[in-house]
Amino acid sequence: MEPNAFMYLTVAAVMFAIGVVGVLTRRNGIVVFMCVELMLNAVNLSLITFSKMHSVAAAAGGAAANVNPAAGSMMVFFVMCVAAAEAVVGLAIVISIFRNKLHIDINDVNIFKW
Amino acid sequence: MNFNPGDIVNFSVMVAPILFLLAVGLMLMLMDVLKAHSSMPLIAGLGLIGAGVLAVLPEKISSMQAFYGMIEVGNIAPLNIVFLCLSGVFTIFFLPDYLKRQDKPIYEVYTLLIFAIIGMIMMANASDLLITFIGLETFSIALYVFAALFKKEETSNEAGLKYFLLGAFASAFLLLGISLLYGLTGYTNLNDIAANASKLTDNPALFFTSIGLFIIGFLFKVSAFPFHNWTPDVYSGTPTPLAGFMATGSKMAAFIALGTVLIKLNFTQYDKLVNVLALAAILSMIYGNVVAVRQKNLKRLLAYSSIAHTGYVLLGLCAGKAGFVAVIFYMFIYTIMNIGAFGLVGIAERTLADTDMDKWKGLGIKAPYFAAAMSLFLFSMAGIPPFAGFMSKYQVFIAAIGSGQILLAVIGILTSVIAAFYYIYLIVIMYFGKNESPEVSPRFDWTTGLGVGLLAVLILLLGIFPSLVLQPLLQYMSGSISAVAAAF
Repeated sequence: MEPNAFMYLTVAAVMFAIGVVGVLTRRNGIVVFMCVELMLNAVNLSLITFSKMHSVAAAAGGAAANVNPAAGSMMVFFVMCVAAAEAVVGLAIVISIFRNKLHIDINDVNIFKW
Repeated sequence: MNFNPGDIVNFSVMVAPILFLLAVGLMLMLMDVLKAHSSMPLIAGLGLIGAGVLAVLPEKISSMQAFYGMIEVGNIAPLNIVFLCLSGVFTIFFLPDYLKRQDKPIYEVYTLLIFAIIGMIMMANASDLLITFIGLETFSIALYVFAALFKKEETSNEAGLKYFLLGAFASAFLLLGISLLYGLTGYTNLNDIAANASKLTDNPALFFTSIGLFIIGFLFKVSAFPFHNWTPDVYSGTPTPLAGFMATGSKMAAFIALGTVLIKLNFTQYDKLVNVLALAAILSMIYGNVVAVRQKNLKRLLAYSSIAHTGYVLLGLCAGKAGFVAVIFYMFIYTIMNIGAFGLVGIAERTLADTDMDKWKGLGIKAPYFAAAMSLFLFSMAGIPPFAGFMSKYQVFIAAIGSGQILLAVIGILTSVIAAFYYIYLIVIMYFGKNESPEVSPRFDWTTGLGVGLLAVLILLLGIFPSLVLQPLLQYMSGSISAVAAAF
């Protein structure tokens, strides 16, 4: 069976959902951060799929041709850059916590209450 | 849309303030390496003022985009730049003194502050969702570093981690919203999306999902009710003047960006969207104000009060295009008084060894100027005339009533009565509380003194002559019919 846009979008949705569940349930700082990255990459996949869908529609012509297929693919590169920059800062924060506490269990990061 | 090499030059001139700030930021990085630390705050401040001047120098343009529809340079954009730069300038008045008091000579903050403001300007003036996202992440990453600035202190670590994880989580939702909007319309450019609005209404379920995810991302950034939980923790762990900056500059940018996108999509025609925003506004106002009453720690009190203020601004946002001037005006006034309040807490923090409210007992006698300045900021935040805080509240309520949101305005007014309770309670503590602490009292040095003086004068001036800010806002937003214009 030829893979179609629906399948790619389903994979993206499942990846995003796995990411959300991971952020909400995992207690290790780095794993939580990995789940956020998973969410971002799920969005990347969906952007690429939409971009491809629009380019197919644009090639077919007609009313559906009123789209900008390049915008989605372009965005993916920026999202990857942003995710890399975020990773730098995030891992730096995790390291500074590890130096003070010698672990990164986020349940234990709870000085502030109410 | 043919590419013409000359366009690059034209566009660069149009975004001159951003490029200028970028140069200032790079220069500050160099100064850090060359150990020219003492003049860094000055250069950063002057750079921000210069960028603001560069923004308003050119002739007023009705609406114009640079870089092929990527970033708005006409309309209200120059004033956004001025306001965001001013929020940075106000912060810089308090930063050097605070870092000196804490014995933490960290000079990267100035560079990061400039880069954060570049991100905010990009986001506020974006006319393409791609730029909105990049701007948002640019300033968010700088703010994550601000939260975790004191890396040896566990409170700062915790603030950084919480802000970082939740911020990244929220921006993933925002990004999903953008992706779905792109899937629906085939464009990321706001003007193109607006021109193809029929594609949105053809598929209402997906449209509301996408715009809902988009709004969630922004409600997190402005700490509106269901997504507010990080606010008090992050503000109490962040260096105090930078917490003030977080609460004002970044929220102002986020509100302007959210407002721009929603107004371009003509959101007031969708009742569901207005209702969601109205609900967030009501709950933020009630929750922020009620919980703030029980706070004993000043930074947490200011954090909860900032949740409440978010509610008031959302109330203005619900009024749609007519309320947009009121939203920007409110955020500017809030910037002035909140950076002032956070700055004063920062000055007192080291001297009084804590940000606990009880330590402030009797400050009215020990440090009269300090207490007077704090009282002025608190009165203004409570919305008592003739201070500027009253005018800003008045504007959003007028805008809300003008668009038929009577219930919202009534709840807003009722909750500001609760707010007045805890603001004035602090003033009572300062002037009538029994003095227990030893004979130490917070003192101004010349930068903080100048900063507090400037902010206090601005609050009084804008409280009596609000049109000094409102008039340019309306002029720049020419063509938009506004409830605010009718009020004057």
